[in-house]
Amino acid sequence: MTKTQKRVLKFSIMFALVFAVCPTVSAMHIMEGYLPPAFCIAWGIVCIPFLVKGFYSIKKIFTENQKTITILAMAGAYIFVISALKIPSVTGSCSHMTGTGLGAILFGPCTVSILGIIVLIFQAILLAHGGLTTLGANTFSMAIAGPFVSFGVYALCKKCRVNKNVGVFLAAMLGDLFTYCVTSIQLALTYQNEGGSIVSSAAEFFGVFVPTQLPLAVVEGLLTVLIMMALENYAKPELKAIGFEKSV
Amino acid sequence: MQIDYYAYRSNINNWNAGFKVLLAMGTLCLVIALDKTAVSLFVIMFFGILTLGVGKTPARIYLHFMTVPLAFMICSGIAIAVQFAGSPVGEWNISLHFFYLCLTRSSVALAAKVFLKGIAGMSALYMMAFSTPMHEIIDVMRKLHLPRLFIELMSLIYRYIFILFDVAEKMQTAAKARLGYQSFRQSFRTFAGVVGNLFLISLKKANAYYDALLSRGYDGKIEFLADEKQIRPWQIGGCACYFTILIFLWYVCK
Repeated sequence: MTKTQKRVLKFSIMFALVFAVCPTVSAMHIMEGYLPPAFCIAWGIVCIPFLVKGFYSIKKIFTENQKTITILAMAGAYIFVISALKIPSVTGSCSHMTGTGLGAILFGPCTVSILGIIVLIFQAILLAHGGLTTLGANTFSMAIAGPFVSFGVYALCKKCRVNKNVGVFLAAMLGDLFTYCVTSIQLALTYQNEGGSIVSSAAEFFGVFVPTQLPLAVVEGLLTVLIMMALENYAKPELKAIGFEKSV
Repeated sequence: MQIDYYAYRSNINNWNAGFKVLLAMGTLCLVIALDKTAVSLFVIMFFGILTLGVGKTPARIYLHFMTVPLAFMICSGIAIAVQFAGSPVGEWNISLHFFYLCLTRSSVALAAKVFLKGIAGMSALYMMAFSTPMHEIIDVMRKLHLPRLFIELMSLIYRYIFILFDVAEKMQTAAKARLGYQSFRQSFRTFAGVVGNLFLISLKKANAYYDALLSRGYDGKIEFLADEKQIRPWQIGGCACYFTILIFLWYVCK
């Protein structure tokens, strides 16, 4: 273990002890049946340009080199599996990473949007996370908004020459938090309180989710940093092969 | 991933996949479009009977999957039912000095209604998931003419998920045997190690699988075969009756 790894580890343990992390099961997939038809369709339409862009970028990668089909598929499976692995927590309750931050940093946001919608379909059908009618809304928050913010933050930090680990941490954490923000706004738009504004409803939904999701976002950020460190130590050639160094 | 295992064992596995997808998706659309508690209750009952009674999925497993989004249900239920207000309004309220937390009869009713709609949607979705293996669902999507590359990616991702799960489980067992999850600190390190290593292995496997594809004559297209299952007339009749009852319920409640 390198010195920085140790430092990150120490910080993460301190954080965990201070906040006594006890996040519950990932609560930000909007459940089946929670959105009325107009919103289902509207969020689906919002996703379309991103998905089309993502699909064409994947298609371009594929026609340039057919070998990428198995790599892309493995990347999708990888995102699914890390989102299903249990994060260590003090209380033993089970919680999961979203994996979108890591995915966006490794594979780029366009690719993640297509892989993300496939992963979300599998999560809805195989793991009971999310649903098919809410697929549009979930895709927008988790496969588009989150990864784009993660990637943007990561690229910005790189440009400003911020320490790489700090950049990765901020990217993963802010991407995660932004996903929850978008989910809260989506729910608030649907279930606006009588007499209240959208902002107050959104704040209310966010307030309900924050106690579980904020520690989770920080934990995810820290884990992503540790994972990236491990990858840079052991998997430099593989990272280069998927175009990681080039992409930013 | 147990759900796939039960899908193969289900008694309604031999129904036509497209028919089941249509039934589930049609119900989903109607549940959210009609937006009536009676409709939701009928759907919960109908699909409960279909999955548990006809399909013979174990009730324990079914209930387990229905309670997975419990955290989301509770959180959003609270957020919908409770309102902030400057003055005490509504049937019940708690003073928090600066503002009041209020529960009005209509907001609680809305929360309950949305909750039932969610359960109804889940039961329709899980009728499909508990009786139709994933490759059949993907085949239905192929028949809907989704882009070929998308379908191929989906099929491959689905297969690779099991391989990676297997690898992750083995690594976790190995780490456990070496006291990798001894303390919180240690389990953090182990988790990162496992996820990082998984990435390496997945890329290595991707290379090997591409070679395997090439050696079987891969030229940019992968063909997946699926066996044809016939739709029986009584199934169409039952389906028509069911949708008529749904519309009728909606009409009565209107």
